[in-house]
Amino acid sequence: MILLVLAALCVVSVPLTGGSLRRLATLQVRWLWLGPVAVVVQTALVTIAPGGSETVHAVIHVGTYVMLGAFLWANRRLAGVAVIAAGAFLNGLAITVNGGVMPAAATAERVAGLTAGSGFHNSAVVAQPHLLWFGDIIPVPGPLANVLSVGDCIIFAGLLFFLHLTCRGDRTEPAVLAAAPAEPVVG
Amino acid sequence: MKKFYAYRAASALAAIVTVVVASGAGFKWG
Repeated sequence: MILLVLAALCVVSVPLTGGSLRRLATLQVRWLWLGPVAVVVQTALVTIAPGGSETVHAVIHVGTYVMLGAFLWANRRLAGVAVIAAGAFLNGLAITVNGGVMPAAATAERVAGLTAGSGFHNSAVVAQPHLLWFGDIIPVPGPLANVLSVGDCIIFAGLLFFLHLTCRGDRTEPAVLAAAPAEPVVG
Repeated sequence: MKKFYAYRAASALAAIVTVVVASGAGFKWG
């Protein structure tokens, strides 16, 4: 849940620093539905159906990252998306090489005050983790206790790039853009 | 026209935020 709060803070930072979220309307974002679908599937995995086959859960979890990769590739020309993709790749890599689960550091979970329950967890302490440096090793204690990865930090840097590069500067306002005639091709 | 652009901006924002949250395996309660 802390990622939602962090994302909200990133969004709020745009108007607070003089940017305009209206400029997002100038973007051509492809495959808009992939992000919400991936979130719904991931949430269902850990809340509605945490029981059952671990293998099926792991495959579906990795599948959500394939969906995210498709979205990020389709929108790679948008500012900041390459940075988000780099972070998502690190997370997806760590999840894939650990059998569909993001490896978490036991120490980080303890510091954050998290306790593992039963059923499938998309982030969990793995007996013999691979690439743990790309796993959830950053503890965040407090009311929104969680453990974050290096990839998470890169993803949020990318979100800030995306929002501030898109919503600030001298980009053409939507209304002006709609009214402007097409530029003649020279050469 | 304003509603159209508000919808477009909200859609783009929702798409990128959900991708960010999902990329971070945002719903990790374990």
